[in-house]
Amino acid sequence: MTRDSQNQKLLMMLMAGMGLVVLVMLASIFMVTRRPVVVVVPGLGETPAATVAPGTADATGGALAGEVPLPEVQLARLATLPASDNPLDPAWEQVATVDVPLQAQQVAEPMLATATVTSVRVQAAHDGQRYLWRLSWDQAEPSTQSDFGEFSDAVALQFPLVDGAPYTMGGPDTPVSILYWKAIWQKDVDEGFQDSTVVRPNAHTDLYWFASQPGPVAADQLAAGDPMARQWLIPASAGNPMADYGRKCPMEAIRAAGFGTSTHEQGNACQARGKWSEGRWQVVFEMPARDGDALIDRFKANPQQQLVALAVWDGAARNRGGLKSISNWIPMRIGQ
Amino acid sequence: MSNGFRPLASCTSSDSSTRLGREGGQEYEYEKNIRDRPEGRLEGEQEMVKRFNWQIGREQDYPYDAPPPKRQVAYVFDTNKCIECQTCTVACKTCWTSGKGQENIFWNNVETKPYGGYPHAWDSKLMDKCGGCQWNGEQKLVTLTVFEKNGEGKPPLGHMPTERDYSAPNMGEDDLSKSIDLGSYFEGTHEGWLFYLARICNHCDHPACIAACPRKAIYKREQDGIVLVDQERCRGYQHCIEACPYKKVFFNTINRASEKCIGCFPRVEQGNVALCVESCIGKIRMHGFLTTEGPPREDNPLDYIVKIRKLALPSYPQFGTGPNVFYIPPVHVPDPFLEMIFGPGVEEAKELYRNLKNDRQLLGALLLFGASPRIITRFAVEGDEAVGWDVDDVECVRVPFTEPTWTRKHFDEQHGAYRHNAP
Repeated sequence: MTRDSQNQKLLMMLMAGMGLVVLVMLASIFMVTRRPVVVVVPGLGETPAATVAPGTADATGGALAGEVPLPEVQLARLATLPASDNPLDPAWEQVATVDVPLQAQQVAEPMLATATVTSVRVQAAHDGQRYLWRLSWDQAEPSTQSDFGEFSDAVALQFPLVDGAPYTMGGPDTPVSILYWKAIWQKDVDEGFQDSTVVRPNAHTDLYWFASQPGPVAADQLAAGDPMARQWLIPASAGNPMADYGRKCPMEAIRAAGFGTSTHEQGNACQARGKWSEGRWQVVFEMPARDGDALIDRFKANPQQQLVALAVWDGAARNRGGLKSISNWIPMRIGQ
Repeated sequence: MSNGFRPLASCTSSDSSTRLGREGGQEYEYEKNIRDRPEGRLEGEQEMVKRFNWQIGREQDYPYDAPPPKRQVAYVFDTNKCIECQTCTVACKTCWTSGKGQENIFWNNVETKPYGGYPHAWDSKLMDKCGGCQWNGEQKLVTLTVFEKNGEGKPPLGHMPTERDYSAPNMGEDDLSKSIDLGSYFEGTHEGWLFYLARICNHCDHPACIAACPRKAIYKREQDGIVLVDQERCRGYQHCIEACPYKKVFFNTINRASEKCIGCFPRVEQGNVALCVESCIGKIRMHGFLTTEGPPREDNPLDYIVKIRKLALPSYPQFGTGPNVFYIPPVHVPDPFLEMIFGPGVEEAKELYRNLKNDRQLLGALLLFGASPRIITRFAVEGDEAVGWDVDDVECVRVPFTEPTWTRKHFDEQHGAYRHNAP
């Protein structure tokens, strides 16, 4: 054996030895750091944390051992309902509560980085004529404004209008019905329209040339009066529900069929009332059990297999539109 | 090209070596991207497409795909002539925004650069967020646009002004770039400078407001490229306000919805220029259309000034929205500041402007500024006159290169009175 080939053989053995050592090290690292691998495959339009498949109200039955049971909204049938116009009615203390965890909306842009409201408490009841829900959540200070870069607190209930509607605002063939309450609208109703003259009482105004006298003019007077003054109130003239200077109801009924499709529903008879007290919003929604209403028909057809989803907007955190904390569908059962 | 997308070929420079086109049936890479785009996508997922932005010399991300409008409304503002009289501002405000809730809304404003801005620091705040911008020698933007900065599928990079930012409509008015030492104004040209920047909505090729609106409540008109907020659908989320680099979408506090310059579309539909253009006493503005279907036309004053001669430049092209208000840069202002606002080509534009007296065709186009309430779509230099034709191709104006002068006798015999200079 020549000296060269001996050297070559030694080198090969050395390399093989080093390779073995590296292999053993890798194997040890793998064994030490190994964890059970959980793969979450989100469904269409679902966030990974969402666990209830759309359209399956009894999904709780499938909960794995050790998992936190899903919240469930029970509408107890009561002979006398709590007052719908007083969110602080002590009668609500007799109604069961369920805390629904919320997560940041992260399905469609613009997305919320982290949930700004992490939980909402739900109570619900009905008397066969009306359905009531009371939603409450912690909010250190209420936000009741709508201004440059400033937004209002809000809350919404969402119901599927057909089976299989995604909880993410429905889909093209799977619409949803939404009840949306907004804090500034409540203030409009309680204290009068939050006009610029109300919000900024010290702002100087010399003369609107269509006005009969110098100084501030109330928007509702303008809207009701001179068509010359109305010509600048384009959204109001176009029927935009945002521009309502004589608001009577602090909530809006909405139909949606996917993100960005929210459409104001005319003539809806639902009502709501919200009140902020001791660091908490309490909002009561009231829905009359009207015959012929698609949603009520669904409630009546299958009272034990309903779904509801919730969303809360924190105005101080500039929540609005898609920037919201939401729940997935949660089961809703209407007691008989 | 099943989706009907056409490259914005006509919107490129007149230099044939850089002009994009589809000669020889070649397919561009961005066209391939569009063709290969998966049909089904998750609901709500914003998939970007590649669109060519001629102002930055490259393709860029944009959430929507659409053919360019049939023609694009565009404006040229000559900053050298603006005296900041605010007649444009008042004309616009009197007509469109004198309603309640519009007290702080100025679809048109004129601000003093370098320090002025409405809303306050609208541009420097975004530049702070964007970081520096860089162009390579071929006038191609190297750094990222507002659509690319936040990453694929994300809303455009922007910032939200506060109520206070809207409280002083002419902050920084007439402020010079630097203090002038006492007495130095007797010593020739001093170093301080300022200029007036008249601003309206840019009716961008790639509007950030449209990209940001989750409700698709903003749209760009097919017939003239005017960008409008649907006043029925807007729910006042203010994402458009946050996204618009020029902060030309405003929030109406009593309507609780956004609104913006409507490009005087009722007038444009009748072939008339916008009110801010017609009212300009300094005749610093020209209103017209850029050609979008086909190459730029020599006889279209807008094409000629902007695309062919490149005398007028977009403002902040680095943001990537493809603005359609073009500025003739002020010749007395140092290049570095102007390049920050108007991008590359400032020195060349200044040189063109300084040489205008020897450039009859270009001077002819400039003579038509403010010369007619009609939108001029075709112009020519005929003898000693610049002639303009309106949207119906009817001659609407004829401007002499040299205004005739008349000398009247000191004594008016007809009236038996002496003539004085003063009225």
